[in-house]
Amino acid sequence: MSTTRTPDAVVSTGTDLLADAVEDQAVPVTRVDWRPPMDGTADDLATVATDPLRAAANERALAAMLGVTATLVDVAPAAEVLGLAPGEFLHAGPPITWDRTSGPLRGALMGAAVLDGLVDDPEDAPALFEAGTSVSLEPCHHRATVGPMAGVVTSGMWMFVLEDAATGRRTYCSLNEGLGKVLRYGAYGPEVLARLRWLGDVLGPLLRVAVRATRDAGDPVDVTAILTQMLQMGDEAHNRNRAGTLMLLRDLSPAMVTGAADAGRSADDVAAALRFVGGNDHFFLNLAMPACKLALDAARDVEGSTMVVAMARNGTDFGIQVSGTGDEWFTGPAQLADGLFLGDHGPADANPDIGDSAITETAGIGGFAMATAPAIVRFVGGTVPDALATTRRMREITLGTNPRWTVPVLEFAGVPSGIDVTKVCRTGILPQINTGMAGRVAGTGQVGAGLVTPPAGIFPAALGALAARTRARRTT
Amino acid sequence: MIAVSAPVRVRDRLRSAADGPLRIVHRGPAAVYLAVGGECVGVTARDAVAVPCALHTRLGRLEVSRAELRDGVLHLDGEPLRIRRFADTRVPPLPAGALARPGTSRAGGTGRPAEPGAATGHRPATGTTSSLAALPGRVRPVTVSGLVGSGDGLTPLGDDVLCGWLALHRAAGAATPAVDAAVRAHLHRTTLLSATLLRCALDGEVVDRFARFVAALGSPAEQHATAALTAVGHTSGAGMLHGARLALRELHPARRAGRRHDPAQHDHARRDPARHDPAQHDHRPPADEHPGGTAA
Amino acid sequence: MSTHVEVRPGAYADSVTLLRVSRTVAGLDGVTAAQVAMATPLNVDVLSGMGFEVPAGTGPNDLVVALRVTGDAELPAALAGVDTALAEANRPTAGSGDGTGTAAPRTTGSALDRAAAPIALVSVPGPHAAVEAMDAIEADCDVLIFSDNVPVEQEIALKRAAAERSVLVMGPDCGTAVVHGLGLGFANTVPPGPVGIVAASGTGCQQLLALLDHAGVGVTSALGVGGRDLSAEVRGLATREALRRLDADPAVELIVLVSKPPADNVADEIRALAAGLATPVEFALLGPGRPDLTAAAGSVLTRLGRPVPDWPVHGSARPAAGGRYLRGLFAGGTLATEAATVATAAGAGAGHTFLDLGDDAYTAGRAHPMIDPTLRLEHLRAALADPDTAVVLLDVVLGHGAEPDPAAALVPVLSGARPPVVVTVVGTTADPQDLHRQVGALVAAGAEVHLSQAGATRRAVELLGAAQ
Repeated sequence: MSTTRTPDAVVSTGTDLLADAVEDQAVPVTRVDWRPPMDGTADDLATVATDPLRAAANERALAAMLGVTATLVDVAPAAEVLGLAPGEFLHAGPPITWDRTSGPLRGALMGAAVLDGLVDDPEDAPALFEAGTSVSLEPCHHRATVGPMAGVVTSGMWMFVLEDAATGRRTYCSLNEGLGKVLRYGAYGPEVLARLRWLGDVLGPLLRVAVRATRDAGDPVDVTAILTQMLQMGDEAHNRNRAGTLMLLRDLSPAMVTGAADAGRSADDVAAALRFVGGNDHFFLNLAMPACKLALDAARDVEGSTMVVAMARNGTDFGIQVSGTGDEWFTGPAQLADGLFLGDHGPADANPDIGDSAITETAGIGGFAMATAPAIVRFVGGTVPDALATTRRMREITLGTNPRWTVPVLEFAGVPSGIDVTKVCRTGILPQINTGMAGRVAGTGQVGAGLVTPPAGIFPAALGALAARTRARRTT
Repeated sequence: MIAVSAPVRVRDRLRSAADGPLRIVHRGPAAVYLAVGGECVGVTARDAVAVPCALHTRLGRLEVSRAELRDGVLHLDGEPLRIRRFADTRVPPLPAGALARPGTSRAGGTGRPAEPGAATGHRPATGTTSSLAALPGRVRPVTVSGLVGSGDGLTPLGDDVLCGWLALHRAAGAATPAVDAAVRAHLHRTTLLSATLLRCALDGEVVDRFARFVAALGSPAEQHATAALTAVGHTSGAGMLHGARLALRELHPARRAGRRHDPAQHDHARRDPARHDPAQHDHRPPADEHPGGTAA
Repeated sequence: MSTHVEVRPGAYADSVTLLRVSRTVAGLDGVTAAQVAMATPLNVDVLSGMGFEVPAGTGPNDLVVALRVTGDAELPAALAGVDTALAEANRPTAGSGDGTGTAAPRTTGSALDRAAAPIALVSVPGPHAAVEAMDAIEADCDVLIFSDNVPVEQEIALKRAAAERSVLVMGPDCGTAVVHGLGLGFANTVPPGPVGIVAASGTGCQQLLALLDHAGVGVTSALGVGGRDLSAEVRGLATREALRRLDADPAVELIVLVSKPPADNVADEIRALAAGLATPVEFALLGPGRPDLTAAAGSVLTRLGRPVPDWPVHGSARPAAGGRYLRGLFAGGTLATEAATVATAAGAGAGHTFLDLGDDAYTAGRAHPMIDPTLRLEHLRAALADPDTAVVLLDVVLGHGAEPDPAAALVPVLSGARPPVVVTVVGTTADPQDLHRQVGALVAAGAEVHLSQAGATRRAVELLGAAQ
């Protein structure tokens, strides 16, 4: 910087009087709408702000996240790719014990226990989980996996396998079951279980043969690139995945047709599979999520970085993980979404926020890219100006923007990326998440969709841990 | 009230003039020029070139029907323009490296010594080049009459060339009393605005882009600063640049001859804290006659 | 008469905004007293002093609305007036947002991300200032930290980060800067000229600007560094950068460094740095046994080859009539310190007062006395009424950021007072307050007005001697 010329602009943060004094000298002023930070964070904010590691650490973490390209390299049972044995259950969100699980997570675990062959009747499952001797619960996030809503994964479920070609790192996500009465929303009726079995018997093998064919031909599905395109086609990749789903079909359907015989499947099976995927607007969500997870995992464990690398909910707790604090979860009570309800359902029927799908917002899409998806703003109870304002507001709490994922209506601005714990605490602006709402009672399924934010208190808690580490580094 | 910045000379000019209505010499959306006691005082809009004889506003465009002076304060359509900041219009001292060409000091393989200030490849537009070619190729007391008022518009091209030449000499700390006297003697031949800008140049006061051009000479910023200067007005920037290059060419051999424009000596001179200060309008008295003139 | 005290947790506005709101509300019909303020300990004291009872447990993050109205019937209108004034004060002003419905940036970093600027001005409460300033440093933007109450370890961390990027950090507690004509904080309007100033003291810098202006010498830039910069802890980190900046500025021919004497080995380092610059450096180090600011201005003029003028004095203080003590009430910290030093050197003896009302203790949650004269006027009334007061010494600092008409508040208090009053008016002819009008009003109220603070102080001591 130079002081050899009269400044042609001034940024003023604080008292208007001093900004007025500059404007009175015919020099333009940008005024910051400053407000005090979240209660009790001032000392920790100053400590972390003046941490000599922070700026470079955040730069590194953000660049690592933005540098990842996720390709779809396989589809396989969880037993095969995650080494899950029967009785080992993965679930969405931070760690939880059965006694604290919410209705939808319970319902999903009950259905999954049947699917895993542990019980024949879902109603027998609770006793199994209460005893806890033959079953275990573990967050998806601990196994490089993400799961929408309840996010329950068992050994027999078929998984998408995404890979970062540069490092060989992989992430996983189950196949999307569609909307309505589905396991991830806590439904576990016979039709739910039948669909899941079909996913394993028919869709999974067909997808596998197609995915392997594209991979082996050196042209695997580039999930990151599809995300780039779908963001320009009205999808925000959390609550709207229509364009992405159709582009996936475009990329895989030829190989599904040609590979059906190898997979031991009939033309009818292929037709049913294409009909199922094409009719399920959310099918691509289960690729968007592990693509985001793959990118964000690259940003983990950078000492000094204040970037959020995971936001996840288990229906009871909302948890975040931060690059500079390792695997520690900072949790608070999951909130109720504000939005629209299906059919006769109302707010009293809704369960608090649930699912790993907030990984999309963590990576800068979903609610953060609301401006690009005007088609769904009404579905989640908003307006188009709200949507534009939301994406702009999220830029206040992120480290940067994503040059690959852009929003045409905002002059192709990159989506706000890399949630910064310090900026959340400074501004009090909470990450905006688009979400589906599950019924409170196990077995209900989806009751609505809307907007939700994390519980505010988890950000000061994460900041406190970052500050403690900063102080510890200073004294050693 | 409209807050403005202005050079000290404008403040002094307004203070010393009699109250009353002012004649509008030129009126446009970017600048308004007024006759104030035998000199021109301008008012400029936000994006206009900051000439050293104007009050600078942040207004997007100007629409003025009436101007008057009350208690030394300029009023436009009854609204006072209050000077809240002084603009620095002084041409900076010539940087030590300005007269020494970077690199080989050869241009275009012609074998001719490179022209100082010409390394950037910025040339005036074709039309301007022919107009410049029609003007006297050197600035001497005898050629001044062929320059003052020569050309069209508010600031004729010949005046722009003279402004660049004079201001560059002020930047080099080189007094040119004979040329100065010739310029003063011919000021009545040009527009009021142009005559005022020549007076500014005689005092080493210039548009901001000329000041930046001088400060950037011999540095990596020279190319950008030269382009910015060339963009001033239709031909004004090109004219000033031409005048500056004439001056640099004349000052250059003096340096080679180890005379008083040695950069080291010059640098020493510039650090003499008793040097000029426009707050005082107390310029260094003329030294000997123009050295470039004798060397050329 | 009816009293109303209401706590609004979580509401926030800065002290200057609340000062405006309080004044607006106090001016409403039926309102006899109004104070709308954040409940800092200082403001709670002020509220108690006004007879308002603030509920226990009210903290600095709570907004207190305290009203005294002529009757219960007036209260709803008064409260509506508070809401209107607060809404008006919080209304986004020109410059916030971009006119396309985009909300204003919420952090300094966000503002700089949207549009680069060469300098940021941070004046949030001290505990929050480092965070905002660091945003600027990371955006390679120079920053002036006006805020006080910033811990020194944060100052060091900021300045170290800035040094790595060659960013200039002016402050914390930097009241004054001029960057090529643009005044930041409390700054006087000065013409460009050969002088560049590096100042660890805001009002010290302003006194120098005013004296040089009177002598006809312009100042190109005056870069503040904050009062602690030359301490043993901070080690002149900002001073070094500021010296380099002024040395690189072709418009600057003489650099003046204004500060308390630096910590010992820091002084050696700075002198060594200065010796290596192409531009000469004049050291104006203030303190007991050293030249005062007026003498420093003289040295600068002499070094520039300029004559040193007689510093102007307007009016004549009335003769002293009784009392024993000099009561100095200052808005400028350096001016308070200099007055004490000069008075002691002039043999004033003990027991006198040199109160700096801009000190942290008087500004937590309150605007600076150059903006809000209330506290000083209270002290002034008391001093004038005190039979022990022999002479009163005041400073009035003009320039950008300061009150629009400081004499207007002082004149009614000074008029007809018994003790002689000597005032230093620190200002330049181009300052927005109109120096001549300010001086004229104070002289008409019976004050003797000096431009030189040292001169004013010696005159006050002389009057003190006559009284004794």
